[in-house]
Parts: sequence; C-alpha cells; structure tokens
Amino acid sequence: MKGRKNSRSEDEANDSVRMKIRIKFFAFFRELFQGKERDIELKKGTTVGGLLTLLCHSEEQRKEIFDDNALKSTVVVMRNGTHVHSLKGLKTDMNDGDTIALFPLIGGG
Amino acid sequence: MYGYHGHVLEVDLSDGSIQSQPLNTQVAKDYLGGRGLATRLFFDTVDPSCEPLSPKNVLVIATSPLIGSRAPTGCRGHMVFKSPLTGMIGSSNCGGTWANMFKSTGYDALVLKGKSSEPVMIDIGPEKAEIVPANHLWGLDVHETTERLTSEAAPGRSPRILCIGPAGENLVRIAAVVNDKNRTYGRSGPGAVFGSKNLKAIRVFGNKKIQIKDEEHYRSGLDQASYLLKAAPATKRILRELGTSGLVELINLIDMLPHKNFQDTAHTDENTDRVSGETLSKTFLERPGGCYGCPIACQRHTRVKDKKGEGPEYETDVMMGPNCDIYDLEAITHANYLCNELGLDTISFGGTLACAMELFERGFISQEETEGMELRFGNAGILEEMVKRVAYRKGFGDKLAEGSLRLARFYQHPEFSMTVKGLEIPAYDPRASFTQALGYMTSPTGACHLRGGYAVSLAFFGGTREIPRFSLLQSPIAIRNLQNLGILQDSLGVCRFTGFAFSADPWARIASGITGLDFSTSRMEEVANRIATLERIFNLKAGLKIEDDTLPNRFSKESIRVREKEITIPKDAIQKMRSEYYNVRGWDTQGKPSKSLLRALHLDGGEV
Ligand code: SF4
Repeated sequence: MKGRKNSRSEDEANDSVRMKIRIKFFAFFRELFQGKERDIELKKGTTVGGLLTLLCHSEEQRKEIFDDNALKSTVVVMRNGTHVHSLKGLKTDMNDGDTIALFPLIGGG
Repeated sequence: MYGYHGHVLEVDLSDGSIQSQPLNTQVAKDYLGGRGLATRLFFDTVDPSCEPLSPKNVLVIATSPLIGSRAPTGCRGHMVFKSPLTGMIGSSNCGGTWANMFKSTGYDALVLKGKSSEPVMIDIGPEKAEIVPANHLWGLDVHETTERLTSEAAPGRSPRILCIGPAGENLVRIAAVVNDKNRTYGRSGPGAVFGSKNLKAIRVFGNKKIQIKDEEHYRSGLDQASYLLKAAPATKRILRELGTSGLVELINLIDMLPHKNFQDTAHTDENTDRVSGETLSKTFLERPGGCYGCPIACQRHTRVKDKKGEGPEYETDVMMGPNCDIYDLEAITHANYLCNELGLDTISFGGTLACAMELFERGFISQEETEGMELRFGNAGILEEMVKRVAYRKGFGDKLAEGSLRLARFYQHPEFSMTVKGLEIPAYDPRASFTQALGYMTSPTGACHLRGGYAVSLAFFGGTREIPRFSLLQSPIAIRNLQNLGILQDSLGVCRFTGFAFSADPWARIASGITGLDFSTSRMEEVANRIATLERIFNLKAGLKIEDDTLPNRFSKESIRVREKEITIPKDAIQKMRSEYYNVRGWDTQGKPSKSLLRALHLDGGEV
C-alpha cells in the first residue's frame, strides 16, 4: 500500500502517530455496517478490540460483535488473513496498511 | 427392525432377476446405514479387480435409519461402486428427495449388478419392483427424463426420479447421477457406471413408514439438534442467505482459492467480488431451497435472463470460474445448468477443463486439435460449448471426457493433472492447509473434500478454534477425526453442513432412539473406524499402492503466497504426515490395516 505524500509538516507529524487500516465486511455484516469495506485512520497502538469498539455505533452492531466485552464466539476477525484467535484476540495490535476482515462464522463448500 | 425396513433389493440387470434379501441385523449394527451399509454390501458382492465399466461392477445405493424420520437433513442417499475414474472405491452422497422416497418403498438399500442388453429403467413401487425398457428415454437429458417419467406415472402418484443424462450414456468418466433434476451424485463417475449397465433411471414411489423404538430419546435428540442449528450463524441464516458460494471471499482471504489449474491463489478483489456468494444473492438468486427435511436451505434457485436452474455452488463456481481464470458469473451459471442437464460432475469438469487450458497454453494441445477453439484461461465463451462436447464426447471433448489424468497422460504431461488417484482436486488449494492436503492424499476416493475430511470449512470456520494450518504433527489426528465425522454423517444420511452447528452428540441420541440399537458416540466412532478400514481393504485389493496416497508434484515444487510467505508442501512433509496418518489409523507402514485392528473391528479375514 502506498503512503500519501503530504506537504504540510503537521500532517507529517501526524503520520507518525496515526495508521491507516482497511476493514472488509462479509456476509450480513455488510448490511450491519452498511458497506463492503472502509479505510479508517487510527491512533498507532489501537488494538483490534479498540477498532471494533469504534466501529460499533449502535446497540444492534455491538450485540452482533461482542458478548459482554469479549468477542462473540460466532464472529471471525482476521488480521491480514490470520484469525485473531491465533494472535492475541481482541488485544491483537495492528500496523499501518493492515487489513482487518470481519465475518460471521460461515460455512459451505 | 426399528428404523430399518429390513430388506435389501437386489437387481441383476444381466438376467433380469429381482430379489428381496433380508438385511442382516449385525451388519446394520456394525455399519449403520448410508455409506457404511453401502460399502459393506458392495464389498460382499463385487470382485475388487473388476473393470469399472464392465458388467462385473456393482453399484449400491443405501439409506440410513434416519431416512423417513424427522431428523433434520436426514434425506441423503449414498452410492458406492468401483470408480471408472480412479479404479478405487467410488463413493458419492446426495440430498434431494429421491432417497427418502426410495426408502418408503420398503427397502433400505439397492444392489445393482450386471448389464442389460437394452436400455432400461427400474420402477419401484409399493407393490413391486420391475425392470422396464427405456429405449424411448435414451438420449434425453436429465430434465427431460425426469419430466417424462414423472408424467408417465400412475395417476395419483408423485414418484421421484434418479437418472443419468447423455454424459452417463456416453460413458463419460466424470458423469453424475442426478435426482430432483439438479441434485447430483457427482464424484467418482457413478453416471458412467449407470451408463455401462444400460440403466437410464430409477423411478420410486412408496408409502411405507419406519417404526421408532424409543420416542422420548429420539425426540430429545431432535430438540437438541434443532436448537443447535438455530444457534449457529451458518446453519441459521448464512447458508440460506449466501449459499455455499458465501465461502468464495473468505477462502480467497486465506490465500486458498485456486487459480489457473492450481498454479497460484492470487486474485484481485474486483474479480472475486464478481463471483462471490454476496454477488450471486444480489443478482441471479430467485430463492433459496432445501433438500427434504432440511431447515438450512442452502440450495440456490437462480435465473439468468430467461433460463432458470440451480446453482452455482461454491465448488462449481470456483472450479469452472477462478480455477479457469473465469470471473463471469453468468457464464459459470449457464455452464452449471448445462452440467446438471447433461449429467456431469461440475468439480471434475472444471478441473479437467483447467488442465486442458494449461496444456493448450503451454503448446501441448494445438488449435487444430481443438477444432479452432481457443482453449485459453479466461475464455468464458467456451464454457458451455465444452460442457456439450464433453457430455457427447464430440470431437476434442472426447479426450476431456476421460478426466484430467487420462487427458494429461495422453499428451505425456501427467504433471498438469491436478488429481489424487485420478480424481480432480476440489476448490481448496492444499498448500494453504496441510490438514486439507492430507485429507486429499488419504481420502479413499481420491481428492475429495467430503470423503477426505472437510478440513477447511468445518475446522477453520465452523469451529471457534483454527486447526494449525501447517502443523505436521496435528494434521494426521485432525484429519482422521474429520474423516470419521464425515463417514458418520454419510452413514447417518445427514448433511455435512449440520457440522457447522454440532458433531456427533445429537445424532447418537436420534439414531439410538430410532433403532433401539447402541449408537452412542463411542460406538459410532468404532463404526466409522470400521468403515474407513473396509474402504482401505477394498482399495488395497483393487491395487492401491502407498505412492498413490500423495499429491501432484506441483504442490511440492511451485509455491503460493500464504500470509506473505512462499509455501510449498515438501515431499518429506508429505511422507511424514502420511506415515503418521497410517499410524493414527492403526495401519502399518505400508498403509495396510494391522491384524489386531482387523480383529478389534470384527474384520477378521480382511488381511491384504
Ligand atoms: S444444507 Fe443444503 S445440501 Fe444440505 S441438506 Fe440442506 S439444502 Fe441440501
């Protein structure tokens, strides 16, 4: 992913503390979050859990993603193709340019 | 007997004899039904060295004690035969409504032997079963045959039809047998076995019900199953909303979606979006549908312009699509309709076409041989025409009708056939999951995700915990467990997709409740091991060698990018997983079941 070029120095300063994350939604999460994907700028150090909290504006969204404060067992979150369960769960960190995919447990084949 | 009718119908097409044989209770206890029962009856009747397209081959269709009950998805029949594609055991499972109606004729299984001198069909009603001339049906496609036989039935009867299309008649090795017009017993080439016996169709109509032994136990299992099916998103709504193609995006995300005859797994996001389940639902889907007694309803009843049909499913979508570098959902759907009508397995067709495309692009097949056809990757325009040429063995299609391994061997480049034991690999690249790779290697039928262990979707998406994708140590046990669950589902006559909600527990209650026999989870585990071992014995007797339990060289030599790393499956990893798998199964270093295992499974005398 190519970085943006900024001429203004405060933006450059900003770039060092912010990161750009792409979020992709699948199955009925597309209706729930009204879109297929979204690019979002976050403070560096934000975890996957932090990102999901930011994404959920409505009670309906929160109910589909969280079970109390834990990730619902029927939700799959992947960071660059890896299930966050195999990383640090909601505490998984992110880097500039990462893609987070969000989908309900799915089946088929 | 409870759950069973206690009768097996034996039809010898050579001499025209039809006999009802009693079902042995011990066989029912040891093999349950479906895949297990069919395998046992097949094993007891067939000569393993027979030529698959000769009259000596035997094809068995079996139901289970759950068929005819209210068990969710308990509608599936299972066919076992010697595969004309692999020369090993052929095993294919299918939903729809035929198996349920067959069971209500009063039989648990059907054993087909011999060969008729003329085209025939078998008509099974509540009073009698008979072999009837079918010259007038020969040449008709699956839809025409189904409509004709339905309309010709006695008044007041609504029979179910199982039949082949022109592909089966023409002994195309990747031909399917179809019920309900579009639900297919696709894998391993059963359509060609029907064709070789001059058997066009089996029409069934019945009204016999099964008896249930322990209503309370049975109901507690039903309640548990239905609660769990409603609790899991896949079975509650996702399969209904997206169909199985809902997997396209996700399998792509984990770098597992095959591309160009498994050369890589790289696709652009725009391209996968064009063939995704999400897109299918927004464009061609008219309504979802379900097999008999199925609350999940993953069927796609679709319409493209003025044509209606079913599909595409995930496998069809990917094998005829991205694996051929085609991302044209309309062309894929049309070709899918045609495969159903002419009676072809869409997975093997897609795999064989991709192989032909690679041979063409590398210059091993000339345009002269293809009669001017540009057999290039990405050429969606040839899909439908190729389906026709293969089904009718027309011109160049005659070579593809033999399946990809024979095709690639003909051009002296077998390395471009993406098959195991001669069966085309389905739409998950084995390099992206060693567990799935081992499943393909050790499946008794060749590369099949359903007989080989449904590693990807069950373990990866259906469970809350991901099976380590590249673990040489855990893969053998994991795949054995998944294979055993698959054997049970096939033997219970229920759908794989219930596995997204639960595994064996509710089934144990349901099966035990219905039959009054002990089908506890531990007993069922023993049954699954017995069936896996009997399938192995058959294959060894049919000539299977340890070297056949492997993968095409491509997967060891050419890497794909998975999570930013270049991945292959090295030869030593293949060997290591294979020997550990044999060990886990209780087979010796040559993959032969040990004496003690045979004794423990009551398979004495099965030494090979
Ligand atoms: S889930 Fe789909 S394939 Fe399985 S029984 Fe139901 S409709 Fe048929």
